[in-house]
Amino acid sequence: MLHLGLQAASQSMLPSVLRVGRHRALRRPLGLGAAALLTAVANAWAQSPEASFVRSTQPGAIGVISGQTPSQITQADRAPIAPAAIAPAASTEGYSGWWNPGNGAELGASSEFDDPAGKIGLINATGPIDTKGHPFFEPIGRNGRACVSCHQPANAMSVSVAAIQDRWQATAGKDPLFAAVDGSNCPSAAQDQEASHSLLLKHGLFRIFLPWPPKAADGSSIAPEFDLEVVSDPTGCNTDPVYGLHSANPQVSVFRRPRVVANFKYVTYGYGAAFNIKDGSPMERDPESGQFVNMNIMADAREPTPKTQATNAALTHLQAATRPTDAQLQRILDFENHLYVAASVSRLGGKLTDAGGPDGLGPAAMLNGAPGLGDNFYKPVFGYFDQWATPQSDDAQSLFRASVARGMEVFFTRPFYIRDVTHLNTVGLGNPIKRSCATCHNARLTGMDLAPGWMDLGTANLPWSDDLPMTAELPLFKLTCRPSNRPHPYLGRVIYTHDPGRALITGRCLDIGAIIMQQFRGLAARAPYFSNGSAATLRDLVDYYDKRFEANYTEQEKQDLINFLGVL
Amino acid sequence: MWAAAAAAQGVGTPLVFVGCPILRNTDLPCWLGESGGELYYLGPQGDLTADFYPPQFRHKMLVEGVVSGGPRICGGIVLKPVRVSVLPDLDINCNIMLPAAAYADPPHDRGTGPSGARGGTPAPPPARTQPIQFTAPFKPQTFTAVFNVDSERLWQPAQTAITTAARFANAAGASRIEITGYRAAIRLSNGQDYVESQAVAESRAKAVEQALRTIGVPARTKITVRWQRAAIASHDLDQNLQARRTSILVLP
Repeated sequence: MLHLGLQAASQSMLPSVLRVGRHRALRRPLGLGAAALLTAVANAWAQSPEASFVRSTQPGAIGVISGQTPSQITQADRAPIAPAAIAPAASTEGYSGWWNPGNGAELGASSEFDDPAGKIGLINATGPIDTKGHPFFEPIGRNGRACVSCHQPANAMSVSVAAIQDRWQATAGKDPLFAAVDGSNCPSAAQDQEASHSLLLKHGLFRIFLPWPPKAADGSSIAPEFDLEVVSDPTGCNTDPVYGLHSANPQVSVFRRPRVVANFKYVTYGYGAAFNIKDGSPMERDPESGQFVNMNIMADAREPTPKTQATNAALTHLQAATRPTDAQLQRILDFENHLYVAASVSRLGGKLTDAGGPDGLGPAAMLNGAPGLGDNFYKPVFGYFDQWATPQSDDAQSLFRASVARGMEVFFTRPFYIRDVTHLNTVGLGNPIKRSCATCHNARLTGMDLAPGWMDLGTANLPWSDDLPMTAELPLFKLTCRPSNRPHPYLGRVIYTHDPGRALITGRCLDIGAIIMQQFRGLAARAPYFSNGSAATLRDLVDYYDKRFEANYTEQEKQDLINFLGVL
Repeated sequence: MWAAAAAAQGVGTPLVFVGCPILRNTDLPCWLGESGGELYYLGPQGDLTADFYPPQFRHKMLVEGVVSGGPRICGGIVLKPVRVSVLPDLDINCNIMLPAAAYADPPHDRGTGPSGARGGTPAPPPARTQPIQFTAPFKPQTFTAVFNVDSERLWQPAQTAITTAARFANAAGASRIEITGYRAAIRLSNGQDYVESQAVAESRAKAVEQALRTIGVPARTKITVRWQRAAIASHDLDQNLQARRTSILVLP
């Protein structure tokens, strides 16, 4: 017997494809009543008779506004803004290389900044940047922050915990970096107390607040496949009556590191495929151009493009009263799309861009290279390091460089069993699979995953996260997959997690704990590592992998890997 | 015991069974399955360009294959062709790794490291098949998306069917698309039936609908989504695949 479902619907019920300039309503500055406006606009689109390929009822964005943004704005509007944060000091005093929003300095075409392992190098492909009036560097929101606050040139365009601690000391906690909205454990905490900013100060973590249940592109709710409960809440924010899960505007708070804003031609590279190679689902499209995107930015791909990301960041992290203008967004994107970052000098290995050295090192390699798949012997992820493989002498530099070359080989070819990683073992490769680091970290010159790169490595989900002691400081959630839905492929129906990851966007059990991997460049300048900052050092990072996958690395292999990672 | 059972299997015999996957820990691992006391070779660890997609520990698998002649590989009688479906429920007992013992690596295109060989030449990309050009006059046409057992995941064959259906719908300016999901009751070699879950026919139909809408069909096209509650009984390998399908009828 054929059952007629309730799904019969005309395509004309769906919103029209959005083209730049078509829908004037969204091109207006986004005011404080943004949530209501956006809902009305989305509803209007839903009645449009035009053809559509934007999945309004799936995650994504309409125009430059993603589905979760309006509810995030509502929460950001509730968070207090400290008067002291509105007028940041106009100097760069304090931590060496700290870039204050609005300082008006020039960022050169080529720059170097000291980091704990040597120097980090930056190249602006478009030449020197006059940052005076530049929306990436100016505090375009209400809390004194700019994009540069959390994407510091000296920290490889992320921000290190060392720099954060220094800013706390230098400003007695008044730097806009520590804004209540997400630079504290919860906006309701006493903001003048160091303990209220413990996750940022100790682990470099900012609060990411996301609506629950998840929102589709049109702002409607997505029915999740699982129930979500708060098991423990050390920060108090998930149980907070104003900011928590049971507030009038229900939000889940998780805590994540800022990502590197550079090398974007690699980060946003994709094949334009219609289907996600990881799970067979349709890919999202750029809501403006209609082109398929690579779904590989941020920790959870909740924003389809850097443009929607910049808009969301201004409205939430910067607590902007209005969305950035089109001109501002274009300047931000022009800057991001032409900025290249990599380590340039190693304290032990010397200048990394010496003639005749490995061709994958230094920011110029990023500028001149091309994105693509690097899990092959023809164009290895980070190139070959043969030039350094045989020490020319027994001096420290030669020996260090030889260690780096061995580390590359360990990374590239040393096999171990990768098991129980959703979105890797589930994609058709089998569970387990005997492979190397480069299987997942396969993208040329960044070490990201060329496909939509979210995987459940275990850093967020129990039992594996138990090997990372700091996770006890994070909220813990119990997620129970509903009987009508499939269980998580490896963890079953009841999953304990510190960060549901992509599942907070899709509501799917398959995505619980899956987080997009980050690029490897400039690691030495931006500790700690992993999305939740749970690896304070590269040694911690390597140790986690060694234990998680029973790789049984020798001490020499571990040190070689650390040295290799440190020069990228 | 295995050798005796093997002798009872004739070359060309279809074999359909449910069991835990078994991994032989050779340098390049090989995948096996056990049925009726016999060990069968399914395929090597590979990558996504391969024909064979391996099973997963923590899950049972449903194997559909044909007994092949030739020497055993990794200790198992070779099934070829073979199709493996990973069943959705967890089974923590499915975690069987056999030692390499004296077995050689299975035939394979890729080792445990990166693909290709240093100093070698990359294989040319596969020739791109030209998509079918749809031209008037247009008549109703059905496209078929097939699925693994108890799954609505869109693997490549289903993706191709959906993409082709969308292209036809756009070329023909389709007035209506009727999507119908089905589920199967698969006859196993031991005489029992494996009946797919009741919900999977609906899930398949909705997955196809979502993908069609994302790829894009004309604004005027009305899409209806149906699913058949009753499982389609299937007794042979070809039927199995057709029984667990979603049909996409495009009407100009």
